[in-house]
Amino acid sequence: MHMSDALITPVVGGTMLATSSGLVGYSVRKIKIDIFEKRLPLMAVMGAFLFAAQMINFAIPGTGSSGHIGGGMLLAIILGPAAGFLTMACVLLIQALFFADGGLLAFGCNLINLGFFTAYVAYPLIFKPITKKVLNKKTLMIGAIIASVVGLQLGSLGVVAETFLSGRTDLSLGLFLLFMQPIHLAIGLVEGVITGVVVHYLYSQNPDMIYSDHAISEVKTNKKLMIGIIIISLIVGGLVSQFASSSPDGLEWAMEKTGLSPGDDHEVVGWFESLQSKIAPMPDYNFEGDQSKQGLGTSTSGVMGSLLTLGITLILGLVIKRVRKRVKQVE
Amino acid sequence: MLKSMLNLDELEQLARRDLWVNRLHPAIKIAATLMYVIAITSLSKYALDKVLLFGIVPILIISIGDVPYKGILSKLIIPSILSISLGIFNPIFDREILMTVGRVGVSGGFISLFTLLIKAIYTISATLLLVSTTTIEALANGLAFYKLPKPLIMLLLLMYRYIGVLLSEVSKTMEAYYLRGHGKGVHISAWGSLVGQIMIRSYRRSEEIYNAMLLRGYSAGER
Repeated sequence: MHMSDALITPVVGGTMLATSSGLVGYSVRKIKIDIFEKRLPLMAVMGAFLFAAQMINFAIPGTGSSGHIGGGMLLAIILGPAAGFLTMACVLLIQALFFADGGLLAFGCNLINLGFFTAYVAYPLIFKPITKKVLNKKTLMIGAIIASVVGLQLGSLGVVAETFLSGRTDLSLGLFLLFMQPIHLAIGLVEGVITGVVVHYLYSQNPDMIYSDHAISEVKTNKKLMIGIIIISLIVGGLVSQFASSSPDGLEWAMEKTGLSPGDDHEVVGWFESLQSKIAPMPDYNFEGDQSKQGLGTSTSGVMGSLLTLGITLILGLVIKRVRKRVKQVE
Repeated sequence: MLKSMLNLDELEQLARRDLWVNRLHPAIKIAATLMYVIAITSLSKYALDKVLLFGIVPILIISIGDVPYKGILSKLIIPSILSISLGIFNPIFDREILMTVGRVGVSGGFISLFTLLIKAIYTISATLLLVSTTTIEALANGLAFYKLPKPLIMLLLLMYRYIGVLLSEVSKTMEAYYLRGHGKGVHISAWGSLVGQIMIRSYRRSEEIYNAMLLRGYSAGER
């Protein structure tokens, strides 16, 4: 499952949307238009395959349970980083729009978590170097497993960071990490083995099915790719650190929530800290400003009023539908 | 998954109707949906009263656009469970009483949990309502209006169409595999060949479809 809109703030979502659209633009420019056109059916069919592949239950040996394939690394290995990234972008967009998985505002977050980390980090920095010299079953498997694990670990770190910066849940950073990282280690291992086995089969049937940049142009494109990654990570890092510095209370808040901060057994201090944790992180993260805290004491009537309004709208809506049906019948 | 494919058909049938909402320019609908999502998500995690009011929009669209409630509600179940599971710790960590209903005090944690849930329901409904009043082709036009690269839009359209092709391909293969008496999951010895064969076969078919498109005068550069 992907991040949903409700978990993030417009600032986090917007930043990630801007970053990921920059990456989409970079990827489109990287594939020349005539090559793009030729590879279009393969990209489309691989993306669509990921949807259909959810039907396949892979029995995990020795556990009695079964797993599914996520497919980010598979896309990168078969299509190459740029085309893999673009295909992932379309997959995520379709999922957000038609399958209620993800969201429009969270699209950027999901694309960074699932597309960027696999196609532009794990693939060129881990899979490529491992399989560069010899491409056989062993290197393919090792490369696919390590790259999948690293990609998924980075992705789930991204989820934790984006959720934490948005502050929509009170889940402490430590607890969230402790929950997310081990699960994604297991998922990454299974994903890696499936990816490795499938890629090896495809390679044994037809080596052309696996993406490879030609030996001569390889150095050049890799260099360009590296520079691109460095620039992008600088931009991302700069933006993220802006968040961090604009709200120094975030870390304090995290430390307090995870129980690292001393001295919260005093009642007054504890009260102030809980007050501060409510007030401090929000003005910076919300467009709404600090009015959120005020008026909360009296907002029972507000909630009741909203519910009432909603109820009236719902009844009106149902009446409209009924009337429309009747009109249709008369016609 | 077959069910979700039927859902895709259902959504498409809804979108193909000739209603006022469906005829609106897709670019406007996309912008409106995005603005709606931004407005909701910008509200603070305690703003339950304000967030609740935003429900007017989906209710209105459902009424005007004549979209069945059932279709939307059934798709909201899993995302709702997910957002609850992520917010479930809010009531534990955040116990300060912020509101009283009669004599019962409601802690900030419960308010933020409900706010999160309502936000998830509204934002997902908004997206689902967008696609149940707009066809994929219209959506593509809307995205082109915002200057998305044409090949990317073509990729989106092609992928959407291939989902059905691939689903029937995979379901046939899986049926054949299970009919040969294998257990509940695909054995590790068949992981590569089963998935690989499906991929190779689908790729060949996709090329045939693509060649047919080329013969009918298609070109990715123009549309």
